[in-house]
Amino acid sequence: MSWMARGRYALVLASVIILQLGVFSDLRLGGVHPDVTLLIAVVAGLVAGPRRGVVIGFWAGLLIDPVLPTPLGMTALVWAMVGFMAGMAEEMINSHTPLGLSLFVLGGSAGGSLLYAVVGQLFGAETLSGSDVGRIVGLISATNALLALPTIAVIEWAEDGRSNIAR
Amino acid sequence: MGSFDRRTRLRLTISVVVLASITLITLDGRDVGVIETTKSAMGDGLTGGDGALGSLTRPFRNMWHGISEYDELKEENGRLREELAAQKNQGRDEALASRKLTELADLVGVTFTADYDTVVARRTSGPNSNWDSNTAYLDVGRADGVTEGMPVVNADGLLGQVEKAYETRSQIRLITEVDLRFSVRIGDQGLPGVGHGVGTLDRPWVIDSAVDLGADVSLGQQVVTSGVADSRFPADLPVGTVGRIQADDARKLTRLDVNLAADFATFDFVQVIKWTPDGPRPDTTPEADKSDAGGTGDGTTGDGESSTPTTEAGRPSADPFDPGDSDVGINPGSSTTTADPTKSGANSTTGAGGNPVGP
Repeated sequence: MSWMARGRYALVLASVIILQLGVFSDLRLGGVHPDVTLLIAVVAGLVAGPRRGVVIGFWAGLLIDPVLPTPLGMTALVWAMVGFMAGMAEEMINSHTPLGLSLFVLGGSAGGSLLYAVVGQLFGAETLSGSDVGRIVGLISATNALLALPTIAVIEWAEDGRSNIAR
Repeated sequence: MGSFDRRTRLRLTISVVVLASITLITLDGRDVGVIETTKSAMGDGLTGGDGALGSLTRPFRNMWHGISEYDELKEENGRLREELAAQKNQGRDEALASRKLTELADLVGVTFTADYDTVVARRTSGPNSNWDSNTAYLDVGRADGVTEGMPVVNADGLLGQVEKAYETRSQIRLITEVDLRFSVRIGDQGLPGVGHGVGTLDRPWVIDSAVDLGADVSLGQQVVTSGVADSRFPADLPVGTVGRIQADDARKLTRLDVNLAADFATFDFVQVIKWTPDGPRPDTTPEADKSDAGGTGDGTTGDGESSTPTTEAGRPSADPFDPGDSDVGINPGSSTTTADPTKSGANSTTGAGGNPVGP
């Protein structure tokens, strides 16, 4: 990755954290807010492959971790896994229609949210036992799917136009 | 060859990321200083509604609240217009300021914290995670003398406990959390019980230990913290009122659902009590417990005339409570009595923010 691309990703990640904490954490629908740090991990895997998904997912999680009650590094670990799986899954799909991409992000966000809940429970948080899992997963996935296409454009910009998505 | 390199680099990246994450999790779990400092600094910089980030993003948040709460805003607007017509000199800002002042005045009038030093604070944000509705953040921290373990209350009653104190902010754990168990006293007779939350803000708190089958409990009785030895909280902080009584024949216990006194969804101004579970505490007499269990809040601790045997630190030496195991959600009772949460006693009149108390 070129230094320019790294700079663009740094800008994207900083913007994502500011948007997440400054705007999206207050935009609650049914008590649930969009999770753009998860979204960026899924889309990075989708657009730029599993390796980039791992790295971007790790940094997105690591930057949001200090303000979450879960252990530092847990979100980074989970989002890295999500980015990797999104990248691997992308290699198996052929359809890149806007609807197909939104559905991909919906599925990736649902899987990522569930994985976060399971890992959180393993680390002692009440993510499965103390939460309405279905509602939270459903709303995160739906809002992330709505934000999928603009986020794909942002990641393609960060990648300097290189993308796995066939137009 | 290219494919091999690609796979190798992918494996290497994954290994590095997984190792880095696990290292961080381990260090954080061991409370290593540099990790705590980093978390504190990043958290202080990133969160806090009145910080630079809050100011920068306030227009977007206000716009969203304008959209999502349109009906309420419209209704409020109509009411304000009527008020404006009636009192031309009284503007919207003044009305809002007045409401906040009332809220603060309620807090100043709180008497169940009279025996303790307190810090007035304001909630800055709710949980940053979708998976944790039992966490909130306050705008005071170590610089204000706040440390881990301190109780947090508002004018209605107990809210929670400081879980993490950073330099200028604190993370509090609300009593609605499942594994935050603590002992309480029920009613005028001070019947002991141990309870916990059920993980959500809109469901009652549960007392499922230490209350014998057939115990003399009635609906609407006040529930306050016990303050017994090693308790998480000092004595006589209002928790709520008994809203449901169920007999658990299998365990020979009575299970009580408690309508919480505070409104956890909307609380704003709070007091952090400068008291920690391992620090000294005022003596508490059983008589004072009894006379105050009704939640009148007229001085809840004694003046050193305790008839309860105490330790050198002023703690009661005997703990009548047996926390036992929790069975959240089990409802095997053969008899059930339910109170209307809207009529749940002295603390269920109006919250500090003008919100009806209770779920």
